[in-house]
Amino acid sequence: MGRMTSAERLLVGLGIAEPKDIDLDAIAWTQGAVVNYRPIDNCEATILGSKKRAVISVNSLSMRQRRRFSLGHELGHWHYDRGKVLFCGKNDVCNFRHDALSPERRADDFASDLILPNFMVLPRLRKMKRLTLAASRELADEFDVSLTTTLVKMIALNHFPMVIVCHNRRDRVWYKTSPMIAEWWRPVRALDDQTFAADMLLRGADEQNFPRKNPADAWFDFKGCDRYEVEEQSFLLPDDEILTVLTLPRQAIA
Amino acid sequence: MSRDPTDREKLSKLDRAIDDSILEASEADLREDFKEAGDDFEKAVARAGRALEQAKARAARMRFERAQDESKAYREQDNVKSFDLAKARCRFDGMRSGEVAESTMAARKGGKLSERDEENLLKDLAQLEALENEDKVEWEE
Repeated sequence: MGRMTSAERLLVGLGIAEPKDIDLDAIAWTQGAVVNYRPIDNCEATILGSKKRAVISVNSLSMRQRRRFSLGHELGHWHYDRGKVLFCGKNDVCNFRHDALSPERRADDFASDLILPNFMVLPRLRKMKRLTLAASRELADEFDVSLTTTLVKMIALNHFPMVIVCHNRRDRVWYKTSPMIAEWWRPVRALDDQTFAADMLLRGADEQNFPRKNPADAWFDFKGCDRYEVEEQSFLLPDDEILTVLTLPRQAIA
Repeated sequence: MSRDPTDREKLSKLDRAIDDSILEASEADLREDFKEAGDDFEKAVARAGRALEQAKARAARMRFERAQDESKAYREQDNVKSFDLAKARCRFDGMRSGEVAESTMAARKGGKLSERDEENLLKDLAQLEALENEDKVEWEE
C-alpha cells in the first residue's frame, strides 16, 4: 500500500479502523470545527473559520450520503485552505477550475479519502471476486456513501480493469477509467442503441442483476475494438442520467 | 532546616533512578542484560514496539470517544446566547474582502447565495464568535 493521505493519517491518529467508526461530526470536533445541519438554498455546505475554530453548515435537504461527502469536503478546506477566502464577488461563490490543484478538487479528494479510506477499502476490494453493482453497493452501504462515490474510489484504486461512464439522453456527461487501462479505451460520446444502458435510459428497461456481455464496439470506437467484448451494468441517476460500469478485457490493460 | 524525606518520596526517587538507568543504558548494555536474563533482545524490542503501538491506538480511541460525547453534547445545547446582526454583518464583509486576517470561507457547489443563506451565514459567524469566546475563557482560567 502507498503512502497514507492526510485524511487517512487523521483517521489513524484518532484510532479509527472500521467504516462504522467514521463519525464525521466527531472528527470535525477534534479539528476545532462544529457542524450544523439546516436547509441551504444554493449550495451543499459552507465553512466559516477563524484561526482555530470553524463552523460548518451542511444542507439538511440533501441525501444522507451527499451530506457526508459535503462535510468531508469542508473538512478538506479546513485542512488545506485555512486562512483562505474562497468566496468571490458579493453574494457569489467562486467556481474554480476542477484541475488537480484547485481547492475544490483537493477538498473532494480529502473527502473521498476520509469517508472511503484506501486502507479500509483495498482489503475489501481484494475480497471482491467479480465487479458487480451488487458487490459495489454492499461496499457503499458499509461505508455509508453513494454508489457513484464508491465507484470513483474503485477507479482510483486501480484494482479492476474498469471504466465508469455517465450519459444523458443526448451525450456523454463524464467518464473515468482505471489508471491501468490503455488511453485509447475512451467511451463513445453518444449512447449506442444496442447497449443495455440505452434499454434502461431510453426504453425504461429494468436494471440488470448481473453484468452482461456486449461487443466492445458498442462502447468504444478505436480501430479493432470489435474484436473484444466488455461487460456492462448500469444504474439510473437523478436528472435522467445513467451510470454504466464497464469491465474491460485484459487486452485493455496498458 | 530540611526535613527527612518520607517513604513515598524515597520510593519515588528510587523509581526515577531505575527509569533513568534504563533510559541512559547503551544498546550494548541492554543486550548484555537481556542475554543474562535468558531473553531475546530483538523479540523484546518487537514486544515493546507492539505494546507502544497498542497503547497509542487505545489512547487515540479514548480521545475520539470523548470527542464523540463532546460534539453530541454541544449539538444538544443552545450555542448562541445573543446575536448582534450588525456586528456579524460587519465581520462577514470584512472576512469576505480579506480585511479580517486568518479567515476561512468556502462553499461547496455554490451559486448565488439566497437571502436566507446569507442570514444563516451570519448566524454561523455569531456561533464562531461564541466558540472563540469560550476558548478565551478557558485560556484565562
